[in-house]
Amino acid sequence: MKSNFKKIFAYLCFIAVIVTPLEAAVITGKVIDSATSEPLIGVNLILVETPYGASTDLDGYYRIGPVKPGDYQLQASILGYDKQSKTVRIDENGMVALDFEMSSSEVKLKDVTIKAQALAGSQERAIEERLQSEKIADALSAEEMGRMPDPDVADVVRRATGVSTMKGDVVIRGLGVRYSKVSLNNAMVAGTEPNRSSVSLELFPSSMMSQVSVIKSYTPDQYGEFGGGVVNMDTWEFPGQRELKASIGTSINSQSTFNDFQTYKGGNLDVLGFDDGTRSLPSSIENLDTKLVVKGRFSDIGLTSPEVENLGESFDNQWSPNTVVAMPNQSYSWSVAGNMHGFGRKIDYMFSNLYRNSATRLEEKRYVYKGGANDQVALQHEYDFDTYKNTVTLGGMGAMRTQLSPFSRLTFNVLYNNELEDETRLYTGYNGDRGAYIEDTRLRFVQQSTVTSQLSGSHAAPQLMKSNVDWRFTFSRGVRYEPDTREVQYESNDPATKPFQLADESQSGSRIFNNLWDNSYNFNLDWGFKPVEEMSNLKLKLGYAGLIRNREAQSRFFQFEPNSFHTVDITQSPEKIFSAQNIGPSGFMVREATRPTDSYDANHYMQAAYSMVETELHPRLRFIGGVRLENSIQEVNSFELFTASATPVTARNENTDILPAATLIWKVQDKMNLRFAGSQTVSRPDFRELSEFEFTDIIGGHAIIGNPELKRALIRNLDLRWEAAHGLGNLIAVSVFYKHFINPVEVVIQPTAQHRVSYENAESANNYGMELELKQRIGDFAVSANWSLLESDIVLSDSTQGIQTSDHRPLHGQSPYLFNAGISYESPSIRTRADLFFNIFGKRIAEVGSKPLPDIYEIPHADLDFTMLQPIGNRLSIKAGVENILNPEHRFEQGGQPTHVYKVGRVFSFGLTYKR
Amino acid sequence: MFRKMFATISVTKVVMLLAIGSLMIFGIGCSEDDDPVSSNGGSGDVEILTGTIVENTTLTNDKEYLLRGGVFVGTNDGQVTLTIEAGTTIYGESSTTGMLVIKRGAKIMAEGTADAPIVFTSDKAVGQRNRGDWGGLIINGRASLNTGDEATGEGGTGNYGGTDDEDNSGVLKYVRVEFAGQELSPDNELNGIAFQGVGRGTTVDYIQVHMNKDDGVEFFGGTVNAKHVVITGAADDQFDWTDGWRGKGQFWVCQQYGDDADQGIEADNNADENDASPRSNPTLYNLTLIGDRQNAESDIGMLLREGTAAKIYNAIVMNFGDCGIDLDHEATFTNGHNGTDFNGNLVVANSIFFDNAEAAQSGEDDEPNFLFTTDEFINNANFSNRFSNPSLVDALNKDNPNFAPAGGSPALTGAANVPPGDSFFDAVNYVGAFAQGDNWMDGWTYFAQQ
Repeated sequence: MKSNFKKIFAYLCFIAVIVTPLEAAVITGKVIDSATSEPLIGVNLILVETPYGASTDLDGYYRIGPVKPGDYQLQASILGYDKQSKTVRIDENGMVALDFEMSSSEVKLKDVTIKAQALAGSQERAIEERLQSEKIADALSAEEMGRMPDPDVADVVRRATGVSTMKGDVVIRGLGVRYSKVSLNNAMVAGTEPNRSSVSLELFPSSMMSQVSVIKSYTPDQYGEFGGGVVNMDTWEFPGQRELKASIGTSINSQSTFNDFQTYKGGNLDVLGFDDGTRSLPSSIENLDTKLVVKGRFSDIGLTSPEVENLGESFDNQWSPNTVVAMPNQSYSWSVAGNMHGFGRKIDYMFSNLYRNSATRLEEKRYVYKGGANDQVALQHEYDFDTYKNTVTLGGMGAMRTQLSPFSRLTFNVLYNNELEDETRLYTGYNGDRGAYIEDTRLRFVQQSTVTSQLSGSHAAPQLMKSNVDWRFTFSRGVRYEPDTREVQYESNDPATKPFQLADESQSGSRIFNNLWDNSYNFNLDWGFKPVEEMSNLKLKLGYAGLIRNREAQSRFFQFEPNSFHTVDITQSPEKIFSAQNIGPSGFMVREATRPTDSYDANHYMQAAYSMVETELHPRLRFIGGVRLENSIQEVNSFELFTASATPVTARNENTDILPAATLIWKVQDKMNLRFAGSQTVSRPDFRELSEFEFTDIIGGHAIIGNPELKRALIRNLDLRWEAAHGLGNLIAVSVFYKHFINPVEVVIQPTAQHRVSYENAESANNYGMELELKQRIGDFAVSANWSLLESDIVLSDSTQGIQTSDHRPLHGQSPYLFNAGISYESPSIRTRADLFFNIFGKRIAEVGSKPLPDIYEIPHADLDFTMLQPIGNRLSIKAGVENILNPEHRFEQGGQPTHVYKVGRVFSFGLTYKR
Repeated sequence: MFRKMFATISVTKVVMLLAIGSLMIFGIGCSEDDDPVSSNGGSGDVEILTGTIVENTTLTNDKEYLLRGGVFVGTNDGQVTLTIEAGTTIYGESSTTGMLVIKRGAKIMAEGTADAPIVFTSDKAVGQRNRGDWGGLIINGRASLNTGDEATGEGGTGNYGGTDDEDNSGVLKYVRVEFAGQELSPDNELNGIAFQGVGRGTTVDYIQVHMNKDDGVEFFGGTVNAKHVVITGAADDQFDWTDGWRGKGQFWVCQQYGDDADQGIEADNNADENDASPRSNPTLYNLTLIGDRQNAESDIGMLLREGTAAKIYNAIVMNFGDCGIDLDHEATFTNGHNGTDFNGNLVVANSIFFDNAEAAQSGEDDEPNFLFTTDEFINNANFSNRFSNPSLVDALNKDNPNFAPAGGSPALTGAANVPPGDSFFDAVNYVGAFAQGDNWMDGWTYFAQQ
């Protein structure tokens, strides 16, 4: 971890050096062909009677400046097109956007309309791109995200049509994490979840994204694993001018801030989000080449009793929290963008950093039931949970771009984020099974980091069939570091007469160390060209994608166990019970209970090639269609559960699939489309689902066994959407969709005492729904709303049902409806901006029930958030907000009875942003 | 196995991998077959057993054996017999959670004698042994359960249960299981002997479980009968049944060690569904359940709950720290009473309760809503229970116990007759597991605590 810290420090220094005084006034814009709306590359732009000039890049964009304020004439010219000229006024600190639509020389010059081109990240541009896109996609622009109170993409994305989130996982059109994938700049990113390969959107700060889009229709240039949709995050685009931005913010939570907060002594770098080694496994244990157990008379596995006693004393003897006061949450961020000269050419750059630190407390009631008389549930356990969490986020982004020639561009970007959750969890209550009152304390530290770096190139060869070649090489790495989760549990079966004493349960006196590394290497190559010069509307696209992903997960579990007839007073504090004098044969001995299956490594190799055609069947009818051939090999190496040998056993799943897709876009009129899309895609089992050895989910706590016989599921997707834009930023869209799943992988609960979880291919499932979306400006107000109606039905055969309660039910996590609304006001005179957001989801299955208990449902709650922004002068703005105004009860129910009940508290926030 | 991974694959290497794409991909991956049983000489005279025993095998008493990791007899539903000669000692390896699992359809023929019992024990030196040193013995059978047609054993120990209540998993006779009960997975300690869906064709007679970390014996459904059972010092319950066990038992004795112990008997029908069918419903005669109320951990003599039925006669329940008997959960009460009277589904009769913290658990706030109280249950005149000193010879002695009644003991009279015509039961006229002057534990049992 230390080396990580050094890297960040060096990075900060680097950024400090390149920050230079900024004084900029630039002209930017895009030049397109008026007939085809395609960008024009290499258009010459000249600021008449000045030395300034530029040419457009691969996307048709140009940038001139900085230029002194004044009135200028800007001229655009390229061979084969009529020359155009526009008047432009440069204000003092301003930036002017000017677009050109150029007509082919043969075509008669149309009236030239001048409009302000929306910058990347604006809502207008997002709508514009959406209409032009060959995919059905819903985008949230940076402008929209900037108005939201949501710090990370997980919070943001639930405001998109048909999307909800569940414990940080994204659910698209009622399809959960198995079917909803995440990409960053169109590349797969590494995950940090220990038992599944999903990617948590909580690790991506929304302020670093120019756009978050939810892609709902499949085209062959996308990865074949496509279910509900893909959340693609695009990092910031280069603003085209020098820009420096710094923000500082604070917030208070009504149920946390200034209240008592339970925490414990950690390391010196906790405040930055890193463990400085304080919690790491003692090196004398880390370096052992055997399990930390006492060996018997005939074995060579293990250590002698005195050795184990000594090592047991080397653990940090801290188990209990202390009380402090929770301080307000803080956040800081800054970014800088501009350009510089190096290696003989101009290099655009942008860098940003953010830091957040928050303290939250959650009080929760939890109830556990068993089957009772008359099909009612009967209360078995009742607990009060009190969870204190300190969350520290440190993130950074850097990007550089250079134009090798007007026809060639290189971009390099890096996104890094580190998130620490340091948690103290206390619970008390009655355990009906054990007939005892419980007092449990757990200290847990989870550090998750992701870094994604991408080198990409775009090259155009207009003379060679108007070719465009894009390539991307992406490396992504996720790391989860979860050292020394400590838990002690005390119990008393009659607190009035018997003092609480240390319980002899496996979590009591336990120390768990988990690590995960996930690496993903992506290579993508896309070649678009027009094979026939006369048919300018026929475009072909060929491409290749390769993916290598590998991950390794380790878990080590230690427990301090009481020896028979020990003499320790176990009503004492844990620090006294586990003091060195009590570690030994007449007291407690540490034993490593790690099982061979607690660690695994896995690989995924994927290669794909595709070809696509895009053409106009009619001036108003676009067709995009093609096919992708995708080969995938998944391998999981685990160890046999009961043998002492360390021979790994490999589970393997290989498939080659042909995935066709076709889209028809009928341009009913200008800015009004009717789209139809159909495709076949796949959904592959997750790594651990293929491993035939039982392991215990360190998060859920239950036993899981994979199934090497699992097949990948096929999904047939049908989509129909009507969308129309009008005016600036107004949109209305209606969609219907239908998905049919063949052999979907479903969870099976096996009838063991522990209700072990496994996986089977169910016969089939259907998922369908309707979505409505509206964005409308009314004077100074803008209203946006989206509403989704979803329905799904999974049919479980006898073998897949296991002891699940329902053989026919909605998909896990699918709400029957989702509704989002926002109203936004912007005062043209004093520039005040205010936003109100509303979000609600329908009742959904949070946990599939096993007999005789019914499924657990999450009951709907409404979220209401308010934010306000007031610019002061040109450089400063103030943002204030209230999140979770209604502070509703979050409630989960089983058979009409509550299982989890909690509130998250209102958050009042205030921030300042300086920009120049 | 725990080496730090740091897969720094260079960019060029990856590009190369991608370039030679399919060649690489098709070359990767291999599979290995399951390891068959491997019996090598091991260290000294101890033969190491590991993996799966797939053909009939005999363990002979001229050697000692070590169970390394899980040792399975039979593939699922295969016909394999493991024979163990009288006088054989088998150690369970502590560092690999050694355990023996008889799979469904396979048999264990472990017939010791009073002079030469078969011993499963800790691989640690005498004096350093502890509860939980190794796993334990698991027997899976094909008899019926109430958790479904079949169930999957904890920790991947195979399937059990079926429809053959007459199923025969072999013989356990003069067998001791000591210092077992290691945790197999979090929250999952092993019982000394787990009878999982074992059928009544199986013979269990003269067995002892000593110093187990979890329950002494536990019956998961099934119909197996057990006679002459000794449980000493189990850290959880001495006897436990659940999931629809319907066997018979006679001459059961347990003695708690109060440093770590819960119930004498903990009896469930089905914890998730109290009225699940078939209902746990054993018939038990002549039990001696000895608690250790002098130490804090001793709880309840008999805890009958989660809807179980039971017919228990001629029991001695003494010296428990919480109470002699407790009934829990409404389904247990409604099953045992027809609204006006006890219906015979739940019986504890002709028994002696003595010197428990209280005879029946009182003061539980849920019971007033039920059809009767635990107190009314055991004091019901038809059950003829007594609350006097059974005068056992030396029942609290842990090193050399003698649970037989002394002369003049009330246990020598007042016994219920065993069911007529049932050849499993011995006709006796005393209460408790021992006749006066007869100690059937002599010779083959063991009480050293370390």
